[in-house]
Amino acid sequence: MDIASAVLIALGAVLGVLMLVNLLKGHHIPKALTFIHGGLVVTGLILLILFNLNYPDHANWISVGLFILAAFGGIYILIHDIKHEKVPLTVVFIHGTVAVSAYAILIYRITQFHGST
Amino acid sequence: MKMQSIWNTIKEHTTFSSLKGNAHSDVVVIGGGITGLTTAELLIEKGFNVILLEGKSICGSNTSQSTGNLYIPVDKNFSEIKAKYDKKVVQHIIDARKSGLELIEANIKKYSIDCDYEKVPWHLYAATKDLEDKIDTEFAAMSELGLDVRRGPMDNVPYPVQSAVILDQQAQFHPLKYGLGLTRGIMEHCRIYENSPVIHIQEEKDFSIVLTPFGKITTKYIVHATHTPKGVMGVHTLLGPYREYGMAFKLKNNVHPKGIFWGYYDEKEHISTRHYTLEGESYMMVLGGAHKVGQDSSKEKFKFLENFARTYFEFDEIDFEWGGQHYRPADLLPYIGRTHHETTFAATGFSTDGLTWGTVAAKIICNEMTNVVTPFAKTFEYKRFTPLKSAKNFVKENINVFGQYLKDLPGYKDARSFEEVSINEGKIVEADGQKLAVHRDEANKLHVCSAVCTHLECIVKWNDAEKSWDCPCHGSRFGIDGEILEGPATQNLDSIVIEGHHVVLKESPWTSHPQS
Repeated sequence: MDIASAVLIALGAVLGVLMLVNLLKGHHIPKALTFIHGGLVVTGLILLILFNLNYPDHANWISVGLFILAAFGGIYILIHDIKHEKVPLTVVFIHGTVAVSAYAILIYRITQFHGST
Repeated sequence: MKMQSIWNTIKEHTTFSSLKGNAHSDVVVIGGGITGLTTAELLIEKGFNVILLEGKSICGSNTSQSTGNLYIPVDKNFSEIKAKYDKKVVQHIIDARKSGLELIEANIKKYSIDCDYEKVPWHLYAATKDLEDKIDTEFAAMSELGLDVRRGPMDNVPYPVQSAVILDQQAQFHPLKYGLGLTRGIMEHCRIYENSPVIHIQEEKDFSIVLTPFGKITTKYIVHATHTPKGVMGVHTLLGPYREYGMAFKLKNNVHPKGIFWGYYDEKEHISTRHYTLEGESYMMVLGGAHKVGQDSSKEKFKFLENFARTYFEFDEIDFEWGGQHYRPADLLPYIGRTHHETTFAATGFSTDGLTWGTVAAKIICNEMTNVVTPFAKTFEYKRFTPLKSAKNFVKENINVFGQYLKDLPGYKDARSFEEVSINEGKIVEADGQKLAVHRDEANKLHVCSAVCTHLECIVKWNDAEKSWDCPCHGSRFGIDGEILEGPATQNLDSIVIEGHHVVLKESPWTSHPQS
């Protein structure tokens, strides 16, 4: 379940990078990318929460917390973007940095958990 | 054939200047159609200092694209509304619409408006045997509600009628003549500005600021009388934007009685017909073909209407064709009154019954602003929360909107290059990763702008008969160069500049430099 979560979030991250490239070029961000990106990471996050509940001894609540924080940033960006307003780049970079940190912790904990089992 | 409504043939037109500089008022009414004009008239009577802003010309949009029919019944039949609501609500609809009709009649007398107003019967008929049930059900519902309805027959009509329900003492008028007459009546007491689209609204606690391209108004109250409110509002998720079409042609031999005629030819939508005498000639109007904005071919809908017309009427050519827009409310009732901002009012969700609802809305809004109780106002309260009654249409409309967003994928396009866009066509072309709305006009000139709607960033679609870019999500419409025609968007489509192999978007100057 944790691996599935990591795969989904990684796919979401790839779309996130595509969106960032569009944004930095000053292009419109295709909304299908936005919604698929959101859908993938939210599904990954739900799987991670389920994993934590099933394996309390190996729970990784730090990643969950950071991903939720990143999600708030994502919603803030979406609200600006969909209203055809300028997307605040600072928030975009904080969103990305928080998400990457959460992902790094997730991968570290996955390798630990699967290495010990 | 002219792409204009039969009403636009009158010679009279308004020439108000556009707003320039700063102004102050008690109320800014946004929209110069029947809702805005009636609201302004009522508020002036109450002593308010009113400014009316119209994005284009007075009554130049949906009011002059309507049928000019005035009636108590509603597009969604009473039987359908009765199935959803108790008798009190349905009675409020009847009371409200009766009061709207009375107000129109009173205004015609008060301002001596020559608008071809006359009392006529309203007819609802089934063209085929299998649709007779619809008429029976509606007759029973209307009778039970105390409406003085009677059954057919319908004489002297050229189309098949299996069964009909008739309500006498409804009315018809020339909507543009009425609107202009009302304008003449209020123009001495109200500042009216045309070609003054609202591009930004800033709502504060005790006042609001309304910006137009060259002006700024500080006001206490704002009334959105624009068919659907301007800007981003929650109510847009409760509305389905639909486009419908009309055509008018000179009758050769047919005689058609006066009246409002709604005919069911299938289960879904009715076709409306109306006779009108223009400059001594007998014209017939045929209206129908409703579809979600930006989600069907308007040319096909005109063909459908023409086929209908040629089946039942004798005429040489179609003289006028036009389109109009309406917004269908999730719970079947219009949203009228105070919005979530204490001093902002709006009216929307009139479906195809806008002339009467617009007048009712003016009355409700004026009363609410002056703390006068309107007996039926609560039923149409703008902020009402009706999750169970709204659920079906809310889910349907928003899944549809989500589906439109999901089409906005990298690589999605109608054509690979500008060369693939033929004369009179409009296509989405992707260049340098940007979605562009490309139209080639009759003179072979290309018109290119961003294809991203400035309201909530859906990708616009080409309207092949009306030659506009229409947003399939919330109904904003733009001209061939991206200028706003109608809908909730407040900004033009971004213009583009091609620099070598790069496409650079240039935001509307209004967006970049709001004058707040």
